[in-house]
Amino acid sequence: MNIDINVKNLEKTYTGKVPTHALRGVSFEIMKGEFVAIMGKSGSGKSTLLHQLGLLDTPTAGNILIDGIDVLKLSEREKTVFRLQRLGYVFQEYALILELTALENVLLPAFALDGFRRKHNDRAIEILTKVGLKDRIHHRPSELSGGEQQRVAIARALINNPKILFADEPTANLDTNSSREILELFKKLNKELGQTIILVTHEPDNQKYVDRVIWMKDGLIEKEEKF
Amino acid sequence: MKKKFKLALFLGYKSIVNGNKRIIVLMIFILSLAFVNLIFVASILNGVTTTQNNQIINNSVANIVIDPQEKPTRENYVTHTRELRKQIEDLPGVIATAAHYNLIATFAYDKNKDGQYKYGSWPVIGVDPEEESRVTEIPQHIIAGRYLEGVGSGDVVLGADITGGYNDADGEINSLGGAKVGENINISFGNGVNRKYTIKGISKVKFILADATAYITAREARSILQLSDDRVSQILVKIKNSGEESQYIKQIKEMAPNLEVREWSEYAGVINGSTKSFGLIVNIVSGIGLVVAATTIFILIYVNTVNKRRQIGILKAIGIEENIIILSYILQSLFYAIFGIIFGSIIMFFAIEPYFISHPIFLQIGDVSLTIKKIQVLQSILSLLGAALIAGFFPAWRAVRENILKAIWGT
Repeated sequence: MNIDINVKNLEKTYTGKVPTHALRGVSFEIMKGEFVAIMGKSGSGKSTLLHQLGLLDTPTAGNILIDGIDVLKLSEREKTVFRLQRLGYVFQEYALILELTALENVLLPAFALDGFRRKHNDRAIEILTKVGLKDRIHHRPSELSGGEQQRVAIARALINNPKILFADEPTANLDTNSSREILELFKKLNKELGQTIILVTHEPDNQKYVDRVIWMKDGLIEKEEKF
Repeated sequence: MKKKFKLALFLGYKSIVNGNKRIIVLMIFILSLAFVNLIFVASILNGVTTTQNNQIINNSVANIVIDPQEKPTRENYVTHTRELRKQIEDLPGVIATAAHYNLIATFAYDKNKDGQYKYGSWPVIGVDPEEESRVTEIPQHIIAGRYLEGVGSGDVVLGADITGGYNDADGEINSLGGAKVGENINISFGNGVNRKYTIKGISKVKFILADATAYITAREARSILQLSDDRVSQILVKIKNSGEESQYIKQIKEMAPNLEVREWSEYAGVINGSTKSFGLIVNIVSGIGLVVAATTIFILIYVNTVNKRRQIGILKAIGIEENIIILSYILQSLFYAIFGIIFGSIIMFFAIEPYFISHPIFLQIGDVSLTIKKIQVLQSILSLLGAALIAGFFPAWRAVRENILKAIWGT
């Protein structure tokens, strides 16, 4: 198995009147095709870790190699292109563009990467069908349920065939059924497409879907569990 | 580049088409008012200036005035005018010339025929009625009685401000208090000559300089001044195309180098001063209007962009480049500005302008309507587009520089 992500001594301190050490020197590796959950109590640093890995934030110290590239050395513009080409995101609150339909939301990263092409339309419909939204492609986010919106967000994250899919508590705002459907969808993507997925969650039940759990506590890795 | 532009256009288009319709309508409405404001005040002040200029040309001194020699010795009259006028009238583009005899006089009017006279001093101009109708419009603006005819003496045409009773306001105090056509008045001229005249007509062109002037025939004027018919106070020259005065002045000066040849604007006097002041006011008001419009656009678009901070954060998070996001906001901003300009133009040209044409503002220089200059409209359009460009760029530029997570979570 090849290494997809290699993290060394990652630190993140939020400056302020009282500096907060959200990450205190975290090191780990994630292999290609792995489905990893980062778990821990609220404030343990799991979301902060995901944000650093996903290049949404800049760590205070340490190294992150993604696909062999030292991503912290990239310029802001290069990071943007890197995110577009290689990373996919699913946020807790869906983070869809409200003025776009489900299909347009999914197409947006493809248009940004490769221009307006017919093949993207076909692929976006294919992915939306795969996530169970074939009949909802022309609906706007306000016309979709929370679970449906999250599936649109997943389809959007997948449109450019990302190396790694990041999901930050994607089921936090969903009911039990929708949560289960989303996690089963992640599992299916991981099994069928070999998609590397890093999932931040605080639900212990979600362990059953993943290959490995990295437990965080007070900005450090407390333990790792493999299944 | 084309790919990026298309994506920015796509984002901007979707944001407008699927955005809050009420906000879009409000933005366009406010921008259209900002555009109207930019043009309206300047147009009304331009209207004042245009009216003044037209009145001076059409009802006072025509386009060019030829005055008597001033150097080396000052003469009171222009001499040998027949030959000179013929030469001028032969110039292509010259419509006509007219001789004027300028006098100052005191008027006495016994309204109730009881020996209680009302007095006033006004200028009197001796004119050839036929010539005058080709050079000024006063003969066409007789509101009572008739204009002068032929060479007859004993008749006078009074401006409505002299007779009184024909103005909505301020007419009675500085007038003869209601002199009527057919009534007699006594006029004492500056050289001591006193004569009795019958009011033949009353003229009103709504221009204070013309409406406060009396007109007698040229022959009558010559008899008062004891002049031969080849000597006049002034020669007025009417040309086809206003604005080309300088080239005619040059030619006339070559014909009569000793005479003073001047453009109408030099005779505007106080009015000319106010024209210059209006020009300054137009510039100041336009400048302020532009700042107000630019600030309005900026605030509107800034608030709109700040409200979309989360969306900007999401776009950045999924890998949309900053310059595409900024361009999409600039395009949205330009959209609002373009539609603001279109609706502003509709309001201006199909509502406000027709209203002012049918309901002009009455001033002492005449009926003032709007004068919308193409260059001012163009300047307003470019100014508004420029302001929209900046207003679209700056907030978006600030927003995209923000930390992605802060933008998304609004912290």
